[in-house]
Amino acid sequence: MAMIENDNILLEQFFQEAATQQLEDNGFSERVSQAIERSAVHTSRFNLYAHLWTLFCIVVAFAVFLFTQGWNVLVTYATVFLTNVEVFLRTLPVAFDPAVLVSQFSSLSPQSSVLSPLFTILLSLMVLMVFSIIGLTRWVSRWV
Amino acid sequence: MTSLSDLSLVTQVAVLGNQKAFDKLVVKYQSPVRRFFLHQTGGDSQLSDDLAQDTFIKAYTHIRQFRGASSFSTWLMRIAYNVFYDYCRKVESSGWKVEGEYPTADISSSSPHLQPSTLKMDIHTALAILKPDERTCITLQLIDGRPIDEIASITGMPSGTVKSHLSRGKEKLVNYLKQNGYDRK
Repeated sequence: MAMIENDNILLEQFFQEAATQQLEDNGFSERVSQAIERSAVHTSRFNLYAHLWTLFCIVVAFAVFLFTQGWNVLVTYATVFLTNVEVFLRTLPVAFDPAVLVSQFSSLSPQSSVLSPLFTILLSLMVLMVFSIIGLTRWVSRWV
Repeated sequence: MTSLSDLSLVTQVAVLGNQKAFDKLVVKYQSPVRRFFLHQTGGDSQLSDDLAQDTFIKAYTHIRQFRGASSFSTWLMRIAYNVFYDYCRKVESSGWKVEGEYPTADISSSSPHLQPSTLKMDIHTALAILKPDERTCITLQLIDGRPIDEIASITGMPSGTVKSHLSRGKEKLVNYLKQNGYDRK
């Protein structure tokens, strides 16, 4: 026990000077400050290039959209979607009539048109939710 | 009080991007960080300053990741430890053998203002007989005066591993000092 204590004292004495040693700055902090400024300039330049690349991608995507007449495709899909909504709303009182539902599900008719608009709406909501989550995640990641 | 002022400076850097506040942290912690590297590199002051600079730049760029779970000093030393081991891996892949050696064995490359006495040279020579992990644990405890749980937090080792590194390192050092007649001084 006494030997271990002696060993510890020996080590403490050996490292005593090193433990109290304070290194002079000698311009080190200034060099770090300048390096950080250089690093910040580099980072801001990288961010600028990243933004320019994003802008380029958006412009290209917009050009492709125009050249492939993407607007017509969108109008077609919107028309189909709105028609489905209209059909759903018109058939809503019938769709939720228990008697009709029972008869439709019991027959398992493949031509059942009642669930189709409902399915379209649910699908649209799911797509909307997925896009909202992606957008929200990207927005949050920018600030974290 | 110290950690409170550190926290205030860190907040200024993280929230307001105040680089002057970070400069104050650099001035405050340059000595322990550079000293840590000096002892890991066998007193190579040029290499130590380069590694210390990398450490502070990393601390600045990742300052928003500081959650205040430990003190700023511990967080900074953890970055320093990682910077040193990244450097070791890089040097090791180019042929340097880690065990029992410094990444740069050329102690004579140290600058005069950091090597004023023979005793410091002796410390580096004594530390050279240790394995890197033992050397890190020994310097953090015997020179920086950090407790075992803090050393574990810095190195990412379990406390038991730190204790065994300390025990083996101390044993080697005591034998070395006794062989060189330090116990008779």
